[in-house]
Amino acid sequence: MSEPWSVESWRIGAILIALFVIWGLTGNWLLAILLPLIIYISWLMYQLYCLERWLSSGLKSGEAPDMNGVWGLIIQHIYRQKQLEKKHKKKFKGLLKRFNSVVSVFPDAAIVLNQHKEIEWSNKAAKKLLGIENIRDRGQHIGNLIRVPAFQHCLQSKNNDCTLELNYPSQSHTVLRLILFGKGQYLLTACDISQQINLQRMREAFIANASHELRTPLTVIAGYLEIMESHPDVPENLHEPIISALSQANRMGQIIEDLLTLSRLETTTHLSKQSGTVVDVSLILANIVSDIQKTVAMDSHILHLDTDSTLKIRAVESEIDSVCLNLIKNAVKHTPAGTTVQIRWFLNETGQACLEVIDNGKGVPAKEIPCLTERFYRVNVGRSRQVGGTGLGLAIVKHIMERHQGYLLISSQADIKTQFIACFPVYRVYCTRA
Amino acid sequence: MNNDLSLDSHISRRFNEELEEVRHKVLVMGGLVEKQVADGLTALLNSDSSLGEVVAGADFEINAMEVAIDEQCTHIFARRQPAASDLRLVISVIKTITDLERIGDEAEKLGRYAMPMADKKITPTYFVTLRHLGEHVKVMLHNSLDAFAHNDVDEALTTIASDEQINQEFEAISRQLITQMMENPRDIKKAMQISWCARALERIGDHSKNICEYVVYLVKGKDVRHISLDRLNKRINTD
Repeated sequence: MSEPWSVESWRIGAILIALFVIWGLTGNWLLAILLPLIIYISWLMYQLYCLERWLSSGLKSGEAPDMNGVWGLIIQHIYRQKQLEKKHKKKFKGLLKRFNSVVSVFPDAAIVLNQHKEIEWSNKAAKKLLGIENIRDRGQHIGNLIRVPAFQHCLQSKNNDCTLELNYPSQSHTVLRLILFGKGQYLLTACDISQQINLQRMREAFIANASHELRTPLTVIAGYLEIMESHPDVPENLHEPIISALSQANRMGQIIEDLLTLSRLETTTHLSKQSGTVVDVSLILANIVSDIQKTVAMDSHILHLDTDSTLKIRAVESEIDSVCLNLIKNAVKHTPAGTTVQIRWFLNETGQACLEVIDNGKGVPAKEIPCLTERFYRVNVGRSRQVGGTGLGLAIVKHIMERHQGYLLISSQADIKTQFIACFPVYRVYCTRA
Repeated sequence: MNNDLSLDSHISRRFNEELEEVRHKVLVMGGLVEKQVADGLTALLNSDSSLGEVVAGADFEINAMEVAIDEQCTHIFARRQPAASDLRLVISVIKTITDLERIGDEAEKLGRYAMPMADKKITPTYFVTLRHLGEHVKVMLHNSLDAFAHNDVDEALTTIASDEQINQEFEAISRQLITQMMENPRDIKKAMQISWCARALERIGDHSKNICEYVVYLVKGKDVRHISLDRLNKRINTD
């Protein structure tokens, strides 16, 4: 038996001895039982009182009651636990401090919201970017401080990830992102992208200006080359180089034209949902197909046209024309002779108006597909130049589709088919058939 | 929440929620109004008649919100019989939404003026001063709603003080326009339209100032309407 417990058993022994002694002396067994027990219980009560006082005073090390036996053991255990806790607390405090200092210098604003979208915590960057102060705004509904209607929609939507670009506060561009985490809590992050936007604008302006500046001299060069080509005084051996130079000049002109189209699409403002005129796409398609059949694809390609002539859309006509032309030309240019190209204009299951162009050519490798809509990206550079591609056609198509809130899907199976689908949203559909 | 209004100290939790909700709705409405003003201004300055049309057509949303909040306030009165700071909150909400609705009307006006002006090709020099005034007014409206959200008297007072600057800017624009009208009588119509727009912006500033005054009333319980800035400060400081 360990030492404290033996002390305790000695106490019990002493009580029993006292009991027998009193019984022997007085002969009264009731007194003999009660007296030692009362003394023992009062002593226990006193010990308990001391322990309680010590616990409630906050376990001060100097004021620990001096006890032996099991009581001393208990006090020792409690004291040890407390020391351990203190150590842990210190460690956590250090960790928390370090975490807080790291998060507070974080360049992006971070705000933690509870399930009622009330602010629980925010870092220093939140004050700079959104004017939200950690202490002052705690408990405030986030929608009270960031009142932009688009953000309110974001708050109300059940999405667990919502990204938003705002001019907030005015003059600067901020990307807000609301992410659901844990049990109904939200993390709102915000970062300032004004610099990126400015850079983007500069780049766009540069492309627009450069292509504009290049166009004038190029027109002059092409003009003189044309004169020289048909001039009788030009020696015969120069004829070939001149024709070659002229075709290159024309190709460059085409590239510049495409670049200008792209930059115009980028700089003009966003199309609203209702803007545009009613466009008869099937008519446009029929014209393009008959043009192409007469020139590029003469005898070499088979073009199948299947259009729903009652299906019209509300859009910008010149841009839709460009989409149709680019997609069909692409299919013809990049496939060998004898290829069949199927063109369909139809209403799909979800009510969107779609233009589908399928060719049964060699197909595009899967890893190239995401890059197809990048500027100047070509799967096969040499061949693309041969057929007169500028590498900008699909970039233009993608841009126009985005401007009309539509999308462009590309899929391909090697040696079977390549499929381009451009779909316009439901609210742009304008059906003459009821 | 950090304020001395203690909105969260009612025995009935539902009452707290009702008050919080009504406050939130006012600020959502404020966000809508801010957007309308910003869009109206953009439509005007960029000669964007389609955006102007959108702004002119979107005012109904603000009106609907005003009616809804008004009704909710009536419900609170009828069911809860609020007293002290709760009473002041409900009263200032009712007044604030009236002013917000008026700001919405002014924004609608901006949008409506933008439509004919976009077609007339007004020279951009007219717009420089208007742009400056507009930016100022936007900031002021934003600050006044922030003061309402934070229950911050100091913020409200600085915003009230900035109204003076807006009035001066409006004066300057009017004087400039009058000079231009005298120099070039053929442009009087255009100048008048610019003047109306400036007037609308100036009115938005006044309404924002009113909202700030309700914030002072809400937090301090003191009516500070229709008095000069000096007396206002004095009255706030004598608690």
